[in-house]
Amino acid sequence: MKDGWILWLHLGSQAVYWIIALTVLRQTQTFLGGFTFFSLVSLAALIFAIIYMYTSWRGGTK
Amino acid sequence: MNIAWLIFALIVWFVLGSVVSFFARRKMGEGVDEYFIAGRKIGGFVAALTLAATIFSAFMMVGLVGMVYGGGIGAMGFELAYFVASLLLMLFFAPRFMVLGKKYGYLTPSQLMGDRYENRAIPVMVAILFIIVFIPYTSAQATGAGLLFEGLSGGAIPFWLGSLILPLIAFVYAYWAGMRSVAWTDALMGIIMIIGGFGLFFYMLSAFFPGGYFSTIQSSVPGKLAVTWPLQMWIGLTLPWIIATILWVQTTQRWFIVKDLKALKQQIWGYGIFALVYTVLVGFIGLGIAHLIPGLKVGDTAMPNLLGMVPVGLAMLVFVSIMSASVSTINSVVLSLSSCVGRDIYKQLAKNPTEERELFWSKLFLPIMFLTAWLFAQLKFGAIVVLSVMSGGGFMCIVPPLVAAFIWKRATAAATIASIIISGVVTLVLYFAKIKPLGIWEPVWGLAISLVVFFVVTAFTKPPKKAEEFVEVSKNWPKYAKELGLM
Repeated sequence: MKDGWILWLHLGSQAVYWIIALTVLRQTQTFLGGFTFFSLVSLAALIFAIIYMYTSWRGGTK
Repeated sequence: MNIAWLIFALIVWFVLGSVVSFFARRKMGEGVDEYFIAGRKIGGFVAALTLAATIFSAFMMVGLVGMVYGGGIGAMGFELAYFVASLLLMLFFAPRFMVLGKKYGYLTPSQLMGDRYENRAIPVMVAILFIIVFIPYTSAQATGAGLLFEGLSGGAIPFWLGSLILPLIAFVYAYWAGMRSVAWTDALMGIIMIIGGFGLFFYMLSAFFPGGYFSTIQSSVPGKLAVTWPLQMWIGLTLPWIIATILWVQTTQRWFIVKDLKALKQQIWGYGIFALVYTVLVGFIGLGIAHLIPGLKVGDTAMPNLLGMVPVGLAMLVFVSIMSASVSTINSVVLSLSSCVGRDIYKQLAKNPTEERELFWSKLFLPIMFLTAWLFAQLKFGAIVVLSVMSGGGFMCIVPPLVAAFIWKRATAAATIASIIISGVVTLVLYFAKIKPLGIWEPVWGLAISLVVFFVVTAFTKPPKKAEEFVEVSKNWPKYAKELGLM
């Protein structure tokens, strides 16, 4: 299964996450800043994980 | 809080857990695999809740609430960085652990590494590393319980007794029926944790934020909504966290217990929903306390202070939810470590190992580890914090050999041993000498040195024969999952 790109996605997403957290989000003092960013990225990761598992881990279920 | 209410809540909660544990015992079969991984027959719902309840300890409702209280939204971002990382790592590693575990009969991740690298010293080394690293982690749970009991009872329950209650209860749940009991009670604890979190948050909203939560926080403590952590602190704390999912023996072992691929999928998305909701709740509560009780010097006291402001019934619910988080973590960690003692230390060192003796040594370790956790807890905060920070760095030395085991045929046993020893020693020296070269924290150096040593030694040594087959199974895991009847 060619899924090694997930490990790169892991590293890349953390890099972007860290850069935004330590730059842009230092300036924002409302819920639309850090709170929204951290929550939405996490929600996106969860939705991605569910879609990925149910489309790529094929072979049916018992 | 009245001590009678406290003891009443504790007894009800313990009896509830014991009933669940009793039914788990009735379902338990014979043998080491049944005791430590429930015969690889756990369904998705229980697997998801045991994974979530194991990962989330009292750190969340006490430690992370305190971090958000003191450091603001950056602390929640740090925890959610772990969340995003854990999901992506699970997508790659969880099915591999499940399939390889079933195919080769692995019980522990250290056994997996020893078999992959065809080396008997590796599982022994990794198992010992797990035990050393987890002593401060488990004792921190006992410490949290001791402080909670002492604080809520107004000192009537002394620290030594409060910190003893938690390991004792966890011991009962773990010893009684092994993984099946731990998984089932974890599921119950997970439900209590989420109910406690929601209950506290909604009470806060109705009682303390009549003008609206978001607008009040934004006008009252706007500084808490910006990320204020310094760069080095962010990296030093977050780096060990974002790889921790595959380093924690109690987490990876939970990919051995699921019955099939369908259950594994349910485990991962179930964990994901729980983790995201619980972390955001904790963030909300921490920010709420920053508005309600400003000026606390120690962040860890934020939650106990809040509990003094809510009705006694709700305070009891939150109290048992925190105890649930602690017990579900400590029993899982210690049970997993005890499986390492039998499988990776006894079985590798004994001349004629038997399953009965393996189980005997494993179960003997359970009370010893719980007692050790309690004794370490008596050291109280200062030493525990130092040891806990060390534990994060201690894990970094096994990152390269563990990841490489699944994806790189060239990776060798000599490189594994050298990278663990050299980076482990260097990290220890940096800690004790209190040196942070270039201002960089010890775990970062630990990982960097381990990577360099691992690649250099691999270049000059031969890979084991098993590597080719192991990486082939890892690469084509869906094919083997079908063959093994996992999907």
